[in-house]
Amino acid sequence: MRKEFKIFALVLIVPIIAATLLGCTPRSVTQQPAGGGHFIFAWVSDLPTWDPDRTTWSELPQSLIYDGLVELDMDGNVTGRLARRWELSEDGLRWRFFLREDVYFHSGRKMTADAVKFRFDRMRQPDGANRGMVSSIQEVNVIDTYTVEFVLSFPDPTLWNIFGSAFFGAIIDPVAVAELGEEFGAKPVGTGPWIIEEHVSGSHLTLRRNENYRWGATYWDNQGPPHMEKITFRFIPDETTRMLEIAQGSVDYTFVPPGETARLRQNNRVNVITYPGNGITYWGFNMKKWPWTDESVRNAMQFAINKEGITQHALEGLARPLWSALPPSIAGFNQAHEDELRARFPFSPDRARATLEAGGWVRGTDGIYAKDGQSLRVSVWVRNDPLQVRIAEMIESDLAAVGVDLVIEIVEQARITSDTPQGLHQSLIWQYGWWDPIILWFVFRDGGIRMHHVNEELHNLLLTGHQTVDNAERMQIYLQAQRLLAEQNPWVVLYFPEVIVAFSDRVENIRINHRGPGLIVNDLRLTR
Amino acid sequence: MSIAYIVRRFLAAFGVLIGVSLLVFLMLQLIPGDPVYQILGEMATEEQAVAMRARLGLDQPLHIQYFRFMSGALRGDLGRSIVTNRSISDEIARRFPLTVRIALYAVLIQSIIGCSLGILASLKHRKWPDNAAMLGALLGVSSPSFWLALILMLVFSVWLEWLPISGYTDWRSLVLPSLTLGLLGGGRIARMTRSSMLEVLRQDYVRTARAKGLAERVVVFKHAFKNAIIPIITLIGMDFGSLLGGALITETVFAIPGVAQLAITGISRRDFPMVQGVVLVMAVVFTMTNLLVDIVYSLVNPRIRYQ
Repeated sequence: MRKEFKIFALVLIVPIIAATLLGCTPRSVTQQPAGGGHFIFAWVSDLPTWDPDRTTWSELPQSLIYDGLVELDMDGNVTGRLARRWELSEDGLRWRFFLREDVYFHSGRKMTADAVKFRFDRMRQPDGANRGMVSSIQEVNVIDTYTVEFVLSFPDPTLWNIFGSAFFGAIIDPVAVAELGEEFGAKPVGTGPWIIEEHVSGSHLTLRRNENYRWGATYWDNQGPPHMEKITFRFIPDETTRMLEIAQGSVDYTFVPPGETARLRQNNRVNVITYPGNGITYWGFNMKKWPWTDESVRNAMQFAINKEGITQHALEGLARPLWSALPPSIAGFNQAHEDELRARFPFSPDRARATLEAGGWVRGTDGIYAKDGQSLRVSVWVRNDPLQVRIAEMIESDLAAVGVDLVIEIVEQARITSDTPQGLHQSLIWQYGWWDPIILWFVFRDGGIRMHHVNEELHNLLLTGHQTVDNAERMQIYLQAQRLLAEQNPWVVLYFPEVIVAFSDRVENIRINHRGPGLIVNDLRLTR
Repeated sequence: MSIAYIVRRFLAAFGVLIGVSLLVFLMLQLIPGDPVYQILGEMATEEQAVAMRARLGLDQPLHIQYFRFMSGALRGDLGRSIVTNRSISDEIARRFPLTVRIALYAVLIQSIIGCSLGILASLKHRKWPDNAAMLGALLGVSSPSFWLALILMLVFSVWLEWLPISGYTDWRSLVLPSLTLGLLGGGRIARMTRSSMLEVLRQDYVRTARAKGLAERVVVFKHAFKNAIIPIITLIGMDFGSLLGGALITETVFAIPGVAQLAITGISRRDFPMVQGVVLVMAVVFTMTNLLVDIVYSLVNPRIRYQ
């Protein structure tokens, strides 16, 4: 027993000492693939394509086979990945990237500036699914084999999120694209740490490590080939089945619904980890429709809903109530602003009723407020997800207490995404998530497609935020935008979730970068 | 005579298929939701949407879309998924065997369980084995499939650790899904076998057979069961069809990459051609199974031919 422990300690300590001694060149330590093993993810559903220009959806399995030019580290700073360094011109309109010279695609071909130009030219094609994200790029110029320059039509700080995304900003092998055409989405060729070995649609995806990998993001512990030999994503659509698999130790990773967390925490074969999610959930009003055109109704709603109740009961404490338009995980969140809003809009049914009455609403004999002969009966669209429905039901009971009748309509997600832009709903419970405050621009530009909140001041403010390169200045603009939203109240911001994931107990060195790629797979190790 | 019967059946089946194809085609046109925005994402511009609509042929008049759909389908080409860009025919062909295998095993299990329980119950009419068998059958008929699936999973995979919890690797992965469906269907078959057997056992020729001094085994299987089996064959035939669809829940719970899963993913992603393809293939298989049952039926029971 003692001897085993000693060996174990040695195994642990030697690399640490080695890494410390070699300090400046830790890469030499990690060049040889250490460890091994086969890591199994229990994933919810299969991915449609690996072509970054054919989908707006990105999940971990897609980003593992690619690299971006840069990556945002744990604090949101830009660090190098395929690019060694970069220079921005004074006016922010020319971005020059100096690429690593030792990078190879899985095909064995060398990654050069031409490939970078190819990718971003392709992204901007009319059929590029994500061309909207790079609308600021005017042209991409190859300066020399390993230098590439982006010429922008306006200074666009949000590009860091694209260049920093291993999937959306993936550098793909131009020759492979030419050879494969539309088949590229199924047989992608990138430069990333993993290579697709087998993909059986609807069943599983197996990746094997790229033994030649040397260009991991600079803040990763391991920039060399991944420690693990293989990883498999098993597609298991049923939540209960996934929970049984992780509890049994037959998978190493899965997402956990809030309701299952307490039970899993008691299982000593499993480690449950939570981190702040970058999305927010809100109850949005269709501002083109009655009764939201009446300011007093919108204001009254701010007092009517018990957000703590929702996070404590519907989400079992695994989310936190939110008042600001940006959650703490997105740059631009301002704690002082959040505290101020929290004080301004406390949960108070009395104040909700008073606000309605001040707005000329009179409580009828049925207990429902009415004005001009119309009772305050509003419908809310909520997608067919037990958690969302539970939240809607809690709002319904909060509103009943202040004399508002909420009619819950459970609709398919696809109907929400297709019909709310046309304004067919009265209100909806919905969420958004991103890494950058630019999300406010996407949600509210020209009024937005969910809330139809047309407001020139807000639109212009968000447009300015979109084009301001100076970070401090930019954050001030988003603070103003958030203040404006808190005046206008086209919604009630509800909460931001915490992401809950479970690992089997044989996984170590779990590092999660919630500002960037999420789980840093390259750093994971299996103990057995 | 029998040829005419089969031809008539074929023509009827053909009519059904035309109707089904029309329904399948129209169904998705009527469901709300624009596939173009599902594919491109919400940030798509109108011009992107128009381009995509044209690429998919969704801008064409309905009758042209239908004509294209059918002419492709008849040539075995169901088009490409608008989400994954993979050939739909290939995808279905690759996944169908798995669904069919589960359905076949399930039919086998339910026939064995159902017929034996049914015969037992009919022979021990109103005695405890009858009551016990019918209680079991009632449980089978009334259990929700996802519940039974989870119970089996808990017992055989979590406690006994004999079988994998989910996913498909080899035949062991198919045991629990087949068992789930087989146990559920077995109840129905047992009840049908029992009532059918009770009816037959009352007939004069059974009494004659017994009077002749034939062994009870021969009386039961050769004289009684052979006649009682006719309605059971219909039931099993119909069941095979619905098992292909019933796999929906078991395939989800057990994470089996069968054809039912394909339909579900297709629906959630608004993958029009994929859903149409799967439903069409399912409908063809269902109709063909029924046709086959009708033919087998006429072979087992010569009286049918002359109707």
